[in-house]
Amino acid sequence: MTVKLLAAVTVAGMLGASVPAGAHHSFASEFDQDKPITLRGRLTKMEWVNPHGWIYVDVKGDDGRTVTWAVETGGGAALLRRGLRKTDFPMGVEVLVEGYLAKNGRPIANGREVKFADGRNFSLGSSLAGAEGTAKP
Amino acid sequence: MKCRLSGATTTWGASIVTLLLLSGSAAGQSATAAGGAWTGPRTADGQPDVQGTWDAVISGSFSLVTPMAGGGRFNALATGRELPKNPSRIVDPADGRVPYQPWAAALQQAQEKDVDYPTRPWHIDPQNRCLPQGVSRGFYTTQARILQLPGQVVFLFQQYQYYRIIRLGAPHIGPDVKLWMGDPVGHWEGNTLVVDVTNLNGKARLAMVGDFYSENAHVVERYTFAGADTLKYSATFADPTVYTRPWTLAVDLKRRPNEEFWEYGCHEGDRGEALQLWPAEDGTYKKDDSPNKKENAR
Repeated sequence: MTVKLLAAVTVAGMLGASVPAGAHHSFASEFDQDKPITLRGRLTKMEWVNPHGWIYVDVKGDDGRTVTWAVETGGGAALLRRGLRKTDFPMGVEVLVEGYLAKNGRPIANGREVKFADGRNFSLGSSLAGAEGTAKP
Repeated sequence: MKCRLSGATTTWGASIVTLLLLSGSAAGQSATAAGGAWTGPRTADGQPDVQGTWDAVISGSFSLVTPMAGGGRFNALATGRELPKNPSRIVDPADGRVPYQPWAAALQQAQEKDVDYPTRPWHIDPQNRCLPQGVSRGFYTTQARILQLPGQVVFLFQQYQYYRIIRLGAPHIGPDVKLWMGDPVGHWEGNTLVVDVTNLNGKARLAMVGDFYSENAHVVERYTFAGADTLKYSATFADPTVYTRPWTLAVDLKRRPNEEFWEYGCHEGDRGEALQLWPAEDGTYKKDDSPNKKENAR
C-alpha cells in the first residue's frame, strides 16, 4: 500500500501561534525516542478525545497481513487550537504517519505528523503539543 | 508518604519564623515593580477586577529546576536538539533547588528515576491519572481563568478541568479535612491577592520528576497584578516534615484575552497506565529493568 504524496503544505506552522496545552505525561515513559517509525496505510478510526486523541491506521505488511496501528495524537482541545477539526481526518483515506514506537512492543505509536495524499500535512501535536518549555509572546 | 523529622528541624525552627518575611520579600519585589496600588477597575464588592484568562510565560511542569514540558523534552531527545535552558522556578533559596530533608531528597530522586521507567502504579504522576494538580502546578501547566464573586476569587483550570475557590477574609476549615487543592483563604493587599493554603492532602506532585509536599504543608501564595496583562505569582512552601526551610517558587503569567475554555474530559483518552506499565496478558507487570530496580522491590 503506497501513498503518492503531493507537494505538502505544512499547515501546522501557520497555526503555531495558538496557545498550547501543557504535556500530560513523560512521553519517554511510553514511547522510545530512538525508534522513529513511518506508517503507510488506510485511516480507519479517529477518537477525538482528551488528553490525547487517537487515530487508527490499517497497515499491510510485506507478508500481506494487515495490522491496525493505534497512533496517539494531541488531545481534541490541542488539535482544535491548531485549527484542526475531526472532519480533517476522513475515514478510508490513505495516510503516511511519522512518529515513535511504543515501548511496550505493541502496534502503538506516538504521532508526530500525518500526511494525506491530497497534500495536506498536519502536525499531530502529541509530543509536539506546542512549544512547551519555551517563552511565549 | 513518609513524614520523618530530622536533625534539620533546628534549621527549620529558625526558618519557620521567617516564613512570612520570605513570602513578603518575594511579593515585595513584585509589588514594588508594580507600585503596589491597584488603579484599575474594581468589582462590585471592591476587589481589584482581575477576571480573565492567564497563562504562564514559560509553561511546562516536567521539572521545577529546569522548566520544560514532557512533550518538549521528548521532542528534543528524539531530534537531538538541546533541551530548554530556562531558569529555575525556585527563586528562594538562591541555588534554585528545593531544600529537601535527606529522606525527602532520596524519595524525590527515586521518583525522578521512575518517571521514564515506571514499573509500578505508584510510579505514575497523579496528573497522568487526570487527578487535580494540587497547589501551584496549574499555573505553569495550563491556562487559569479567574472569576470573581462577592467575597470569593474563583480559579478555573483548563487542563484537568478543576477549580479553586478562594474565600476572602474567611477562617480555615478544621484540620481533619485534607484536600487535593487544600483550603485557600485570602485577602487583598493593594494589587496583590495573598492566599493562605492549608489542609492539603499531600498526594499531588509539583513536577513530573517527583517534587512534592506532604499533608503538613502550609503554602502562602501571592498573586501580584503588576499591570493590566501581567501577573506575578509566587508560592512559599513551608513543611517541617519534608523541607529543611521554607522555599519559594515564582511564575510570570500573561493575560490571554481571546482564550476560550473547552471541555477536557481527561480520563477518556488516557492510556497512560497501559502504555507505561504495559502489564502482560495475565495482568502481571513487566520485568523490572528500570535503573531504580531496588527501590521498585518494595
